[in-house]
Amino acid sequence: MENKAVIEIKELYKSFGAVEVLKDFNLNLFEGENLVLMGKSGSGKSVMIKCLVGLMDFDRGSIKVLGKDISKMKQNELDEIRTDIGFLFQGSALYDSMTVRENLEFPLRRHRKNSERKTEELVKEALENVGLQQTIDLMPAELSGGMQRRIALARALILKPKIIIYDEPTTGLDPITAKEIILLMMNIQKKYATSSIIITHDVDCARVISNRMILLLDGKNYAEGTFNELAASGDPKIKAFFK
Amino acid sequence: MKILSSYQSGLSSFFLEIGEMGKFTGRYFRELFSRPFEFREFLKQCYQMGNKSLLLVSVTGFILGLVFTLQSRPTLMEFGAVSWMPSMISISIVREIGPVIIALICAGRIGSSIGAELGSMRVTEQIDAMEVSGTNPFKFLVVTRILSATCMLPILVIVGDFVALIGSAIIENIKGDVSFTLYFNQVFAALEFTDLLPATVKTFFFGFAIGLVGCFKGYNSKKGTAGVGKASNSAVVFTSMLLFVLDFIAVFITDIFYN
Repeated sequence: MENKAVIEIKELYKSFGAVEVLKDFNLNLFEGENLVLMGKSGSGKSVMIKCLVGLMDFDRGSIKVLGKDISKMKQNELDEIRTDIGFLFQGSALYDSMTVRENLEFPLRRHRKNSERKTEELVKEALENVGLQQTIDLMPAELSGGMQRRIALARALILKPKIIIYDEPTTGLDPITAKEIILLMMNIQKKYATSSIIITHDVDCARVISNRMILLLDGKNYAEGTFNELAASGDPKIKAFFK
Repeated sequence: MKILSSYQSGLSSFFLEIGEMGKFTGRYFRELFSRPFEFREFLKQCYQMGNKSLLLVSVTGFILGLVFTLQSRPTLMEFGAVSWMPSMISISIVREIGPVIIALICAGRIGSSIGAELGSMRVTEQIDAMEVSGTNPFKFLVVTRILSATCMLPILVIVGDFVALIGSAIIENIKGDVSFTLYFNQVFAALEFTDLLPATVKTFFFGFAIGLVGCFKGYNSKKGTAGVGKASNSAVVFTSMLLFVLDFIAVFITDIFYN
């Protein structure tokens, strides 16, 4: 599993006024790995992923994505590297003024010079991957929460990214749909050999999908290991995550 | 003391917002002339703003022409000046009432819709999603909307003015037995280049203000769904105020050049 690191975060600090959200946070994501990040609300997980994709500036430290330091990138270089990162938002974040087809075409038209036929093929393939071919001409508002999440996953995958970041992929879904999403994530990982960071509070999701886990507490790495290692820990703070 | 400090903080946040809006405007002009140009989205927005506001603007303009003529008629008759009706109506509508009323209508229709749309995109992370997919959301969402509003408002005002004159001509035809040909001959005889040019130029600025404020409020919207409502509402209020200020400046400048 210990391949080369596709994401390296070193000594990351981020504060909002006097409140330090991330304090000396470190993370390595290796090629083909599913890394689960767990932490209490307000522990800095969302801030970390926003720093990682360049949506937020950080105070100190370094973030390297595919070997490139993102803090030294120009806007066009950052846009380019973002095409190698798929992002599944907690609320799906589908463009609600566009149909499912237009949502999927949106990144393709901007970053790939494909013919109309090729674009159509790629859209259909992405929808097939998530089992929702029949929704192609529907608007996001006409879909259920689980379907929206799957379409968002199809959109995140359409540029064939090397890395996928899942922000609480099962939150707000019923247990059956949550399981479907987890299976889908595993299938995608197998099919495209992506590396993933999964932020979740869902212990079942973490158990099934993780190769390695990091527990985040007060903006710092508190513990790191496989699911079984951490679940067997006697530390009450670690135990609290698995209750 | 408390009242004074609340006024102070209100005033300082107002000036901070003006400063932020200045930066936002600067960014708009920088992004406007840099590649890639989002031409498809620009055309889509022109359609949304232009075509979908056309009925509202036409109905408003028509009623404006009818009411204005009906209200003015008795006074002009009293002074035996009813034959001046087409000239008076056309100059008033083309120079001032048409652009201002239609811009206010569009501030409600276009400004609030931009504010609500971008605000809801912000709180549902659609803008972030666009950014992480490697697309510049400012260019795609803001530049296209401001540019479309700037281009569409003059056209809407011209249509609104024309429909208002038709409304006025109908009343004159019914009440004063004035034919449409005579009415419009008098209208075109009364209107001069100095009436049309400043009135048209200022509508570009009105359109720019509507697009800019709507985008600024929506793009910077915070605090969940309540923030979306606030963005939409304050876009209309702020734009309406700004339109009157711009109108005053436009009239002042026109006065310097032509009188």
